[in-house]
Amino acid sequence: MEKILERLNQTCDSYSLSITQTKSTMVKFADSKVTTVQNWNVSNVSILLTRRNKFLTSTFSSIEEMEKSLPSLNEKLGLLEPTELVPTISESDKMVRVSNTDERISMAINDPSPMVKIILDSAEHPLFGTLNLVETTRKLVTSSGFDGEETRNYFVSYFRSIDKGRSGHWSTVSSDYSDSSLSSTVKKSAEYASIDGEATLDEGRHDVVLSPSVLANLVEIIGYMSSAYNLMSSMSFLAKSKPGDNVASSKFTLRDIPKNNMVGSFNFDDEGTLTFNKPIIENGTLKTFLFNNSLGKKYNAKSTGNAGWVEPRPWALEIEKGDVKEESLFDGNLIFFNNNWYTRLQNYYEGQFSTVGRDAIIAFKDGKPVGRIRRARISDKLPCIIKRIESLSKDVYKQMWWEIEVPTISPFALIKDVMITKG
Amino acid sequence: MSNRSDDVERILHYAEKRGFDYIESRYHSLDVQNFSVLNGVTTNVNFSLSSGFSVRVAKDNMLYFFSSPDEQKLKESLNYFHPIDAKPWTPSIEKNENLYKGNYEVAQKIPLDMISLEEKIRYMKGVTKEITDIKISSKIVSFEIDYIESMEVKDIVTSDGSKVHGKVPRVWNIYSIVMKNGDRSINSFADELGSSGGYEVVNSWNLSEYLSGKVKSFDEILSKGISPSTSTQDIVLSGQIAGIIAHESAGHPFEADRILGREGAQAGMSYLTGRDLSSDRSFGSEVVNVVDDPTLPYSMGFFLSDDEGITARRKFLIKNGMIDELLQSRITSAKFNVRSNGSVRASDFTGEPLIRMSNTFFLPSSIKFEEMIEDIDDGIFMKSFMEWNIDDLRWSQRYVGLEAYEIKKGELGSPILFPVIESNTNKIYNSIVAVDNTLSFYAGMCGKGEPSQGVPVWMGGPDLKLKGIKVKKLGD
Repeated sequence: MEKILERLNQTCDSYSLSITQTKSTMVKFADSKVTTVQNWNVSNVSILLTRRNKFLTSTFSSIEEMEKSLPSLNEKLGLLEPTELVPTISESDKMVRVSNTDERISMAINDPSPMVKIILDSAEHPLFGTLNLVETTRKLVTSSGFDGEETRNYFVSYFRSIDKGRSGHWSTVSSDYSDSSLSSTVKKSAEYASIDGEATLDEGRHDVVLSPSVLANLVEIIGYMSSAYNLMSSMSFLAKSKPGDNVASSKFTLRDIPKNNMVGSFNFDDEGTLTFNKPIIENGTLKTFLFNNSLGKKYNAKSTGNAGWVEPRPWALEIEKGDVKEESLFDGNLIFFNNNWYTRLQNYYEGQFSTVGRDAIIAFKDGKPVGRIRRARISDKLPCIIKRIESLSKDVYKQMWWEIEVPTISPFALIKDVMITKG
Repeated sequence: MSNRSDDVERILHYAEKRGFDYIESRYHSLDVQNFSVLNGVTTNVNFSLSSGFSVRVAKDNMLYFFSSPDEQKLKESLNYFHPIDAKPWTPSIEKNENLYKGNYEVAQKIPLDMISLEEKIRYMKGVTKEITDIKISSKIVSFEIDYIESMEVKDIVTSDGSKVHGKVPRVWNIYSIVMKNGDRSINSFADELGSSGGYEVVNSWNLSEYLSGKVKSFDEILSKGISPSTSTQDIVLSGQIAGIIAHESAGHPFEADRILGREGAQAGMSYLTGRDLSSDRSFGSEVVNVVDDPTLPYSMGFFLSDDEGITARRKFLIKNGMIDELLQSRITSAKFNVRSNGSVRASDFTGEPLIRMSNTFFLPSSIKFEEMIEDIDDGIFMKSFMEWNIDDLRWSQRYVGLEAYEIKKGELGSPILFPVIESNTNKIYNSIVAVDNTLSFYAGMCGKGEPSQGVPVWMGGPDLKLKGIKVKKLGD
């Protein structure tokens, strides 16, 4: 390793070397059976090299592969033309060592059978889903002398219970394992699957309650849209706003929370800047875009500790809880979306999108569930969704699954006048 | 064979000594070079090499998958493995006679490494300048081009005798455009240009001309576009929209693992789940023929052996409006009493091999486009799309037009602002009354699996004529 760093010091103006080693096991379930057990022991070695207004990035599966490729990377770097926007390494020579692991998760990576038993014993209906156990060590060394290493582990589980054609979904993610959290995730999916009856729905505007999962899926897009790269490319409805502008309901606060108890902490970014929790939108007001050093400089701002050498990104998100009891949100006539998928945008600049409801879409009349609605979409604009947030639940839930890649803490949300379409 | 064939053989033999019933051993590398030019500025230049091994084994029909870039670590994982005490989902692992034994490769007429990276970047900057210099009434707010080239190499051996070496270079272009005119804006994010092959693929795109056409068309839509009439009408869908329909509502729901519920908590199931195909194979109108064909030369989804070592071939999913064949693997075929038809792929060495589409498309006929629209008095031609999605049974689907035009008395007319089709599989496939004689293909990255695996595909078809489809306005 020292030889590699020495060579980098000789050939580049600056560099950042990131090595992530991951051991993980994933068990997948279908129809209450195990479809496959997957086990990974992998590395991701990424490097940023800069020289006189030129840069390149590179990623390998092993340090050996990277070492072999260094001469040709240096040659390629030399041949590039200068560019205006070059990633900048932070002037930090700090040493950071963080280890935050749960022994139960580490052990289960080698033998997940006890957790599999808890899952299958908790299933009341045919169960589909995933248990993912992850332990990862991330190292970062930069040409400024930054030397960081953090080890963390976490588990993600999500389940879909299917009872006589009716399905329900729930997910959780945590860096603290508990049997009860696993079994309650299975049971919560079964609760939604058990809601009976059929209801009809006319296309048009309705009040809706979004589950934490649906809200997190939509807000994840807003999280990425707050990246300064998407401000620069205008692939964001937020590109029309500036910090201080009102962009959402006063009830809505969205934070980037690298310090969290979902997947452990991300303590430093890819440029060697120490991370910190921050509001992106606070009480409806846009507070900041997410910056790395070079985009911060371009927009007269400081890095927010969200590098990405090229594109800043959110680490983990939190939607601040509200002041309403969960059950009170359902008072009145409304549509509840337990889950969604396939969110696609017609226009990122306007935030025009649609997403398909799945699992339990329930019609509520006078606060009572009256039946399940088949095949409904939310077809609206993201800025309208966050402006029309009426109330949020007191209880929040940690969410991560196939359609939520950024771990997110999210409440239930009541949103007024949302366009629902059917096909 | 490559120098990795010995490695995968060694891993196979190592696993064999541990008493598994079935073993696949794979070396898989993806060597990628990509860069981005945003508003004329190079914002990213990246080289990545993902390379490593995976081994998938079965013991008493329970499947285990191990992956590592390091052979020794992979062997350690095999040694530490604890059998799971649970019911296996897989009924049996098929031993297939149609095994692939040999090499395949896509030739590069102009090798990708013959053109320097700097020349490629200069070319894309030149394209950017030509596009942003076009005199139009709308403002180009942002314009980004991403160029991606890759070389995928696989060595696969299986315990029943497959021995595969495959090598596929690919070139891909992604562009995004944001344009504004008064209160109106339009946004395109498109990845349709892509093929396997060498740099000749880039030359074949005529990128400046292609993107100029797009920008002028978007300008016309912004400045002259009218709202669609929200009524039931005859519509014509381009080969691009035919492609996404074939992919989403014929290809995915014909994946046998999805029908059986194996992806139930992720990408969902299928409208064919639970249907008795031995008694009823009716599907759509008799002009509908949809195939999945990995053997198309220079396609994005090209392969001659699948990742279970089975020889690949063209599959008719829908023949003359009837369900013909599903996409099968070694672990699903027994449930349908058929043999695997070689439909399995993994995105990289960390990916479990899964049933995947390759190049999925409607087949054309002999009718010309003009003949197809001549009897439409009042309809819509939808040429391209931006927003689309489909439910997790692959039934209710939505496509929102980006470039769309009126059809008036058999001729194309004014541009239309973002018409919406939100319909279902039964209605769409039974409303197709004609397909024309064109055939075009569009690249895409298809997602499936957990962890999600993106694999390159083509989607396409001729222009399709549909009778009596309800059209909605965006926002209604």
